[in-house]
Order: sequence, then C-alpha cells, then structure tokens
Amino acid sequence: MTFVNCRKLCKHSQGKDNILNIYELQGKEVIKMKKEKKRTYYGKIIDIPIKKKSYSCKGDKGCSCDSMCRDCGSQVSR
Amino acid sequence: MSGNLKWIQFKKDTFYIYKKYSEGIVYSPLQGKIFSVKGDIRSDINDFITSRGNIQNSFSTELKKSGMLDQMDLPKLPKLKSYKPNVVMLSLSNICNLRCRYCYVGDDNSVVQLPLETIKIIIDQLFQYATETSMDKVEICFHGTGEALTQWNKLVDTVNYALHKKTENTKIDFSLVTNGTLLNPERAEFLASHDFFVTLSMDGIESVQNEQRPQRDGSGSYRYAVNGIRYLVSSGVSFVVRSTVTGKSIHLMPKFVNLCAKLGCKQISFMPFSAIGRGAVGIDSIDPHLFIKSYLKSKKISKRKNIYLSMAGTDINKVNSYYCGAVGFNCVINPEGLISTCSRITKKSDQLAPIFIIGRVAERGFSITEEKRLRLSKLNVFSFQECRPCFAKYICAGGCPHDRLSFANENLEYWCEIVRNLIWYDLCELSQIV
Repeated sequence: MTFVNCRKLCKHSQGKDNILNIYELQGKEVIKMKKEKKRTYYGKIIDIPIKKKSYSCKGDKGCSCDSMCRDCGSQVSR
Repeated sequence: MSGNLKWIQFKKDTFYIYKKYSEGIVYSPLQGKIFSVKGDIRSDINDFITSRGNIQNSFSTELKKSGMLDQMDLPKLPKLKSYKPNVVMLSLSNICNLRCRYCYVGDDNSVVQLPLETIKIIIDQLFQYATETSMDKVEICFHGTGEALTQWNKLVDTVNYALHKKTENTKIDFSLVTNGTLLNPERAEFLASHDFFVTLSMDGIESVQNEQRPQRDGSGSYRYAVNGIRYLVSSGVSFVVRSTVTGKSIHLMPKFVNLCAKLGCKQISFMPFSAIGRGAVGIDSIDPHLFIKSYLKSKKISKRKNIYLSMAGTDINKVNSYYCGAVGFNCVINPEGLISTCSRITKKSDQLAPIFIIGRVAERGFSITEEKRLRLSKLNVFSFQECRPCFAKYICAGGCPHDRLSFANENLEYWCEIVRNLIWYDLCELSQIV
C-alpha cells in the first residue's frame, strides 16, 4: 500500500493513539507511527429517482428524454 | 462549500466527491444513490480499492447498506434500428429578423426556403413511418436556421396539411423554437389552439437582449420578445424561455429570472454560448465559476418564484450514454431539403455537414445513407476517453457532439467545470451538506 502524501500524514499524526503502517515513498524503510483516527459520520442514504425513458415528451412533463439539444432545449425522444 | 471539486472513483460507477477531505458525498449515478460523509475516509477508500472491495470497515458497511455494491447495468448504447423517425424538425427557411451576435448559423445573405411541396413529402413520409412502426404519435417541430415565424403562412399550411393527413388513431404534437419577436395575439391563439409547446429564445434583461439579440437593422428586440412572452402567457401556451449566456450577461442571470417571473414564465433554460458561427469571435467568454455562482443564485430565486430552471446535461435524474439524438436518431430538415441529425447543421457548406448530414428529401420520400448514420452512433460517452474518470459522465453524456467536434475536444474544460459543479451542488442540496 502506498500513501502518496506520507510525509504530510506523519507530520499531522504525531502523538496520536492508533498505529498505522506507512511505506516511505523514497525509501524502503517501514515507519511505524501513530495516527488519530477520527470518527466518521455517514449521512442518510438518499435515493435519486432515475426517470425512465418515455416515448415522447415536449419537455414539459418532467419525464426523461433522450434528447437535450443545447440550442433549442427541445426534449424529444423516440 | 468553496474550493476545487475533487473526486475518487473507487468502483466502476461509484465516486467519493469532495471539496475538502473531511466532508464529501458518496455518489452512484447509475444506482441513483448518495450519502454524505463527515470525516476523512480516504484511507478507508484506499483499503476498499486495494482489497478489491473485500474489506470490512464502516465505509464498506455503509456502501453495502446503500445498495451501491449491487450490480448495475451501464446506460445503453444508441440502438440504431432502421431510420423511421416519428419526430421531424423543420427549418422553413434561413430568413431571420434578428442578427444575434453569437448565432451558430453564421453570416449568409442568400435566401433559401423549404418549399411546401417538399414539406408535404416530409409529412407523408412521417405518417408512413408511423404506420410501419405502429407509432400512435408523431411530432413536428418548427425549428431554426431562420426564424420560423417569418414563414407564418407556410407554418399554418404545414400544420393544416399534417392535420389533414393524420389518421384517426394518430396523435400529432407540434412544437416551435422561436425568438418570439414576431408573435401577436392571433398567432399565439393559433399556437394555443393546436397545443404547441414553444421554446422562446431570449437572453436577458433589456440591455442584454438588445446587445446580444439585435434586429437586422441593429435596433433592440427586447420589447418585441417581451410582448411575445405576454401573448403566450395570455393565450395559455406552454413554453420555456431559453437563454444563451455570454461573459457579458453572466452576472445578470438572476435579474433575468426575476423578469421572467414577472412576465409569468414557468420554465427557463440557461446555456453558455458556443464559440461557433458568428460567436466564434468577439463574444466575451464564459468564466465557469462566475457562471456557476450566477446560475445557483438564479436557481434560488426561481425556486422562490416557482419557476423550473434547468441546463441541459446537468439533470441528476437522467442517465444516458449519449447527449442527444445527433447520434443518429434526429431528423432535422434544413431549407435545402437536406436531412441531418443535428439542428446546428443549417447548410451543406457547414464545416460539420459531411458528418451530420445523413440524407435528403427526395421526390418519393427520404433518401438516407445508413452507413453515415451508423457512424454517428460512436458519438457516445463510452467513446470519449477523457470522460472515463468523470463522475458526471452519465449525466452530461459527454456534452453536445457538435461542440466536441467543432473544438476537437479541446475546449470543453469550462463546460465540464460547470456541469460537475452544478451536479455537485444538487447532490449537496439533496444530502443537506451545504
């Protein structure tokens, strides 16, 4: 495993509890160091309704269309 | 949230998007799912990637819970069956009463008109296709090259001929793309009585509209466009206002939304201008970050005013492998009677005409070169190498194919920046992290 910013990570992790193995990028030596692992919070899982393709639409029904012409905004599908 | 947008793709269709490490969004466009994250999960993601997903940590648990680890089909490639379109976009002529500074049509003083006899052949062909494919609906869209309303009588004749030819079981939808300046109460009533959906191009408040969309004699078109909107509103015609944004008009977008609200508009579509045609020189370029800022401000106003504001290619509810029907579906007929799949091809001499023109209207109907049409299907997001790592690729589908080919893929950075950020802000709003 390679941490690209390992030097930066080392600097910020001094004196913390959890142990993390870091491979030096420019050498082969394995440095054992301490890093604080902060708690991660996950938000609610939200569904984004993916609209199904419709046969045809004038862009005014809020349905999903194949076409989105940048010049006229016409939203017609087959 | 300020700063540059960054993202890590850790699964084929799943991304961690963030502006600062400690706060971001896990997003799967194809699954249509997101969840926000507070805390630095880069090492968790790294572990997830290196273990090829075979790791147990809070991050992988959350992913599993969300359903993002489930298999998901990629958006389908354009399926080009035999060419039997049920929608045609007609350019009745190349005559326009305005001289918009950035018009993609460019400067051309010749006059070309699509004869009514050719239009009849087109409509006959349209209904024949509908019969052959058992389609119960066809659509006729009156589109640019020139301004459709300069050919009002021909438009009416076309509508009447189509209604005359229609069978009992076939429905016809009509739509119109117009600058609105030639509307009057009678014309608006006609559009209303035939249930037209109208796209009215207007760029902004008075100073912007007059500067960017002058009449042929150089005088302003603002009051005529505003009157056009008023006629549509009072006749009850459904319409969207389509606004081209240039470097000069960016900061006035919110004011334009307010104006539209006062006029009674319900839908606005903003789009940055393309540096093609007359717009290739002399138009102030778009600063993507100013555009994003102004668009978001406009969006807030539009929500308050109950207006639906959009920009093509940024709707997170739609995923696709191709941007528009230019990939081989569209049927755009220019005044010369040539059939192209892109409405920006207005004449045979256009630079990209050899690519998008797939046929012509012959005496007995459409004459199509299938081989050319099939080649267009390659204009899909899976063919665009530079789109591969992007989290927005299935939403914008690589953007306008005409733009891509015009600029040889080199001038897309500002488009990409705008699209990604608008999607990001929609995701932030959904997950309530802004």
